[in-house]
Amino acid sequence: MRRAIVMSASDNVATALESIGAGDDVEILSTNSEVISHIKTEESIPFGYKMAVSNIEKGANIFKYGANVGKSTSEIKKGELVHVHNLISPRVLLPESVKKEVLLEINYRKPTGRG
Amino acid sequence: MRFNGFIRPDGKVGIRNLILIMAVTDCVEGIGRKICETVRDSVLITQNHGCLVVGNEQVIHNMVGVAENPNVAAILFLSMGCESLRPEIVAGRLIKSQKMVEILTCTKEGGTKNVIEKGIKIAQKMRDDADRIARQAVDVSNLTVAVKCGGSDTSSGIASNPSVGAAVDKLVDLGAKVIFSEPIEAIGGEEELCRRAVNERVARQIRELVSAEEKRYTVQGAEMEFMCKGNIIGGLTTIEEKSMGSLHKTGSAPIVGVLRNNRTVLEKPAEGGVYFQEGTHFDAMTAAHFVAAGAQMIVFTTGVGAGFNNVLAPTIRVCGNVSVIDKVIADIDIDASNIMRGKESIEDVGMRIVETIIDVANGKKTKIEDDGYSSFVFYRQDPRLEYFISEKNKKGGNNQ
Repeated sequence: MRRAIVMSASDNVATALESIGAGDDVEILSTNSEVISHIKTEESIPFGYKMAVSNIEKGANIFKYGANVGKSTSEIKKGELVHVHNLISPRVLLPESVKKEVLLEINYRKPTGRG
Repeated sequence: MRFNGFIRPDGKVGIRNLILIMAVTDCVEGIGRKICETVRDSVLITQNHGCLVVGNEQVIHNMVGVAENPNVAAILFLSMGCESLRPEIVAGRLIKSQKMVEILTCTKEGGTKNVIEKGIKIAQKMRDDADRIARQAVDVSNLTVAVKCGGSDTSSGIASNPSVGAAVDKLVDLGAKVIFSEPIEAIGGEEELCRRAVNERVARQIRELVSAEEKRYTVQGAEMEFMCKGNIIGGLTTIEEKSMGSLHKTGSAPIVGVLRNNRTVLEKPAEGGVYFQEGTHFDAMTAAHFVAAGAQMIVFTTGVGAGFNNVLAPTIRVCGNVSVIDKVIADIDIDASNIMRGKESIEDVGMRIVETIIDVANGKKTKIEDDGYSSFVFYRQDPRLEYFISEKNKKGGNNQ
């Protein structure tokens, strides 16, 4: 069983506590190590990366630690990876070149069937 | 709680007893290196912003601050002789500290070889004099500890930063001063910091500090990288997310003051409590600011393995990333990875950090003290950019 942690009850993302594969059944834990729910991933979530714990609309705020950490740039389905390809800061933008390099380095590919 | 330190003539207490060789410009750095190689526990630093004065005021304030740091027993200044930035400008501001100060100027002393020879004699005499100062027991309230994170990843926000935050709360209870900086890593966390401000004035200063840093990194047409690829590959996406993890290391005690560090002034903490220092987030430059404000020690948290080490302020490294610890345990002073495994509480790791801080204050070497230091780098706000962002302010720019 793979595990991910939600840092605050109002968060819409969980952080992977280990590397999670596509299609894995993930135990979503609270900071008190209680199991809150189970989510099947849509794609692989590397250790330390975030996955959506609910369906997130385009332009919605992303919450981690109970704090607003940015906005989604596309619709994100429950169980999908949340990172530089679909989450931005409305205040300070990462250079595009850095985003591209990072996505290349983690070998990120959009899940099939969604353009 | 007490520790044994070196009481300086101005009453400040050092945890190390170092001879500082300060090359006021980088052209005499090599001379300083020759002297430093010969004299035990001597430290060479220089600055790389040219040898001019106007526009360089912030660097000069920080050179004075570093020389005043209580870990320094005596200072030997080196200069070429043709600088605007004369060593007397810095040395003249050290009179109040009553430290041993000497100046050697290359063109007055018959050139490089003579200065090296003379410098070794002077620095060795300083070393012998400093060796006669014995450690004495003093209260922990004499400690100024700076906290910094570098190479942050997800484990920083969950393990190492919160445990340092617990240690900070304990230190503040004991009356110590704690400094943090990295204003870019307060973006998104300002309101939480302002809630902790002791009064409205401090809250306003916090907002101004963070807003100015945001402007420096959002100049249209001038893209800047502000968090490293290691952070992003480590799983952090936005500066707000990084901030939320980063600020955990500042604990929960009230923020008693903002320490300005700019062209006008270098401020130091007066009373015990947590202080937010104006500055940058680059490790070596932030560390220089901490030392200039009087920090005797730095607690440095890392995720993806930055083994930062400052030559004047012993640096305690805290890490919560298991795979990094497995590779470089020899460099890590505090292993916080059991928090990630749910086997140790944040408070327990925090207490271990406090114990290590006291040990290091008493003279115990950190894991890589003496083994390889990061450069000591002076940071300088560019007065032209500062003017630009302040003008925008006056015109009612998009920030407070």
